[in-house]
Amino acid sequence: MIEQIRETAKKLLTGGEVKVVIGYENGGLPQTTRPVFITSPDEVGRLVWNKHCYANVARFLVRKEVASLGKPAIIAKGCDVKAIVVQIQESQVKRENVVILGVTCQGVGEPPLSKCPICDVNTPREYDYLFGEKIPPRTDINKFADAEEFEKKSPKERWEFWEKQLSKCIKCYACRQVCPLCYCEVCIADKNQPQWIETSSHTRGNYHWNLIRAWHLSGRCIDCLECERACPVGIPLSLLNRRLAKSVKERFGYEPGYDKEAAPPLTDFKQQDPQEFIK
Amino acid sequence: MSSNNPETVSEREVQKKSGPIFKVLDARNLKALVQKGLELGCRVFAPVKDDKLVTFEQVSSPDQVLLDGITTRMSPKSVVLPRTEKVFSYKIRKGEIVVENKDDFVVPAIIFGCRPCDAASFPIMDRLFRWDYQDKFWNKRREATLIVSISCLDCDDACFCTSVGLAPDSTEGSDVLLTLISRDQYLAEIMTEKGAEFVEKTGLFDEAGADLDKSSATRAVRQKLGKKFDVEKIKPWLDENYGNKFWGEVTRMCIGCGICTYVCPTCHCFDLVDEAHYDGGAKIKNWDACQFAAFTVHASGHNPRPDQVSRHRQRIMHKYKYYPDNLGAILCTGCGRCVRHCPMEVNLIRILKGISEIETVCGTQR
Amino acid sequence: MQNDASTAYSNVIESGEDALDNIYLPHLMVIKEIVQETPDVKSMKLVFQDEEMQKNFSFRTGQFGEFTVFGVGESTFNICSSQTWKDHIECCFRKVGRVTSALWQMNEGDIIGFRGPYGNWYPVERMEGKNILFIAGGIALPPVRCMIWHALDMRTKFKNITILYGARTVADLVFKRELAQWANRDDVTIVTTVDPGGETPDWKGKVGLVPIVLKGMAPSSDNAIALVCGPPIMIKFTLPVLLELGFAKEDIITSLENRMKCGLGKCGRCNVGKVYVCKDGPIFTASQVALLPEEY
Repeated sequence: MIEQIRETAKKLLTGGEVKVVIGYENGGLPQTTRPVFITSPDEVGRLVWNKHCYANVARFLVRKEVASLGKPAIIAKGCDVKAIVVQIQESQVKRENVVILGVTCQGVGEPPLSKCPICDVNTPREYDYLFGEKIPPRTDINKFADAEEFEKKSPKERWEFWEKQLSKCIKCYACRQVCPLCYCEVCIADKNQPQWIETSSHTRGNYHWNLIRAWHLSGRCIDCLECERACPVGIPLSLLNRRLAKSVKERFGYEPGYDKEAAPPLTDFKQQDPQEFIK
Repeated sequence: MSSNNPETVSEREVQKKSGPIFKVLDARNLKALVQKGLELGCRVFAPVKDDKLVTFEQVSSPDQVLLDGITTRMSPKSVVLPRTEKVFSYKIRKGEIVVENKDDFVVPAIIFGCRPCDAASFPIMDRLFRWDYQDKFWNKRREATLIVSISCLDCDDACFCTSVGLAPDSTEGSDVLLTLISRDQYLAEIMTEKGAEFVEKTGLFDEAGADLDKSSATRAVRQKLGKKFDVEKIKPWLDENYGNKFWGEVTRMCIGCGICTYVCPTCHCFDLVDEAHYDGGAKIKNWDACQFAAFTVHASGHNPRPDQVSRHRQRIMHKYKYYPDNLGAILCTGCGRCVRHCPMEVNLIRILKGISEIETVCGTQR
Repeated sequence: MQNDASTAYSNVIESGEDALDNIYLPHLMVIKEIVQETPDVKSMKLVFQDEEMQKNFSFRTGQFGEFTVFGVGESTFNICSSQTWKDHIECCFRKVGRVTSALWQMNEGDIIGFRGPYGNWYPVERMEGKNILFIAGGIALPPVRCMIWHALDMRTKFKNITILYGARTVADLVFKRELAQWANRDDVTIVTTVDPGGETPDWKGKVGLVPIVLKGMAPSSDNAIALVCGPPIMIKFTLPVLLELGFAKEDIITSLENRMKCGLGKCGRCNVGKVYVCKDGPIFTASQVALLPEEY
């Protein structure tokens, strides 16, 4: 499969159809890969595809250091493509301005990351080229199993859980920086007139940041788990995101990342939207 | 003169000049040291298991301590340089400002079970916090903190202390360094008066025979570490290559997440902010990172480091050129945390190795 | 090579008291007078709340301070008054961000904080006995104005004093009343200019960009030192004119600014290459600036 990917990348670069191919190369540490930006056809040999292609490279489509290189092709697995779909929905990326080299994927990590057994985009839902055998989407999975389990706890237990977890936060903002959908030029946390979110990593500052970020992602987060993978202190961020995603699914029947034509629920209104909050 | 006399700081260095005192510790008593520290009324910080990670935390019992990893996720620097701290507070009453400058923020602490790379970070950072102006927050916590480190007998691919002039059994920065020299015995090198005082109070150490030495115990790990790059070649290249396009090539995957800065034992740049409520507030000192876009942005919107390439270059330049130029030491101890925990595998070792292998010193922008 | 503490790099101050001072603690100052210079620039006269402090306070012309608005934050301003004035200090700022917007709302009699003086200062000894050419643009007059008054207060120590000051429009000129004072003196030559299109019907000064007006003035570089302060674009075009006129790079002095927090070399923010603007600056010669990487 990697040879085909390399050949396609070479063809796209030589033909001038794209200026850069975003993919993965071998990392310096064992069992790692590193995002790579191939601009010359001679360098396509650096591209790899394996169980350690963790990073959500869709992140780079909304970073100016990469956007400045020109029209990209991007080697993307299912979860990466879900991010690209949302980026297209939100007008951050034009569909015709990116060539998606979709790759079928049975999971990354050894053992597989927690998102992989409940993945239904083993075959990406959007692509220009597809590499690997098409895998039909799983239908027997419960994406919100852990959120459901968590909901069974009492409010007091849930509060204590998050109090403990969020006290670890060091405000490094890695969760924001790895997220392909955190692309605001100036994040609300960096604005200071007024200082909406305190920068200190004390209780108030930590709650503020993590809860605001979870809210800003509700209805948008595609559960790539990059935030959790990056978090240096091991906060289970995706649990928070998944609880909100479950709520959006239940109320609006919507899951982000599958249909680039769909209107995101928080920017759209349908007559049958639940309105029980209007008393 | 108060008891927190900084002259005791230079006394510490005088002790080092006359050489360490050697003692031995029964290996079964290792964790008992933690108990003794707690009994002395100190806060004890040691590696603990926290969900899935091993990191430095305050412990209340020796059973929480976990010492068999390569190193911890977060470094122990937060004991002396907290993530967030109040530097003074003030009350605003009817146009009057009353400033409160309290001095009660220090409780004696013991950093137990850190690695030599973590211990060595403290004397390096001392240089900055005493550069012309003395930072009392650093000085007072530093004075009240005892560092008992344990030599490494193993390493992983991210470790590179030997490449920056340190070693898995270096005593730099430790008050007491413990090296496991046999299955049931630690050799203790007591480097400072503070360390000697602690050792005596525990009553757990015995005299060491003259023939005991640590080098055979750590030979294997030193060989495994080898040298990842020639550090002598780094600064000469950095001196001449600010504008080299090499920077863009090796840092384009950096997403500016700041993890490298926050897990690093020597990164110390900080922010000063005011947090106010209806009748007053406080000036807060927080960890900050040159990797953040907002770090250098002017109020006018102008940013001298407008992209991630310039920001990541700044990190490497600061550690391997500016800090040596200004303060005489490399701002890095080779602990490898930045390499291990970077989500995009920017890999500092790769970059430094690349620099050390560039054949010619290329031209600069000037 | 690494960590040779025996070289005792640390400039450890052995005195116990200094080591225990809180270097981040501001002194309280009272706003004595506020003048609105332009639609978005104000200048302030400040005195220490503690009279003893005011009596004992001294600084060198060109240094800066960190000014606190309690509850909001700190901002870095040059002390735009001369060291020869003992009874107060002055600052001048544009309303552009969080702290300056809060400072804008303050009134005479309000309390702010001050930390300083920090940084280096104008090399006055080197300037004595020479002709001084002051060039400033827009909001960058204050860092030059302090040295202008210093030179005027010690007039006999300097030879010819020439001032060239320009702004985008007449309304943007700061310290207008002082420009008039200097124009009325016969021991100072002053030329003021506004950008083309910035003049008012009754404007009596020149019209033209500062570098162009400078070229027309063609001041002699003989035994002269130039002090230049302005927006980067102005410096970019003024420097070549000065070099053409024969000024040596060591004889062109400027005051840089950069984002600062601690102001005393610890927070790691204001460095340009290995040079810290708060410690090695803000006053630099053009030859020093030429060696700096372009990150300011």
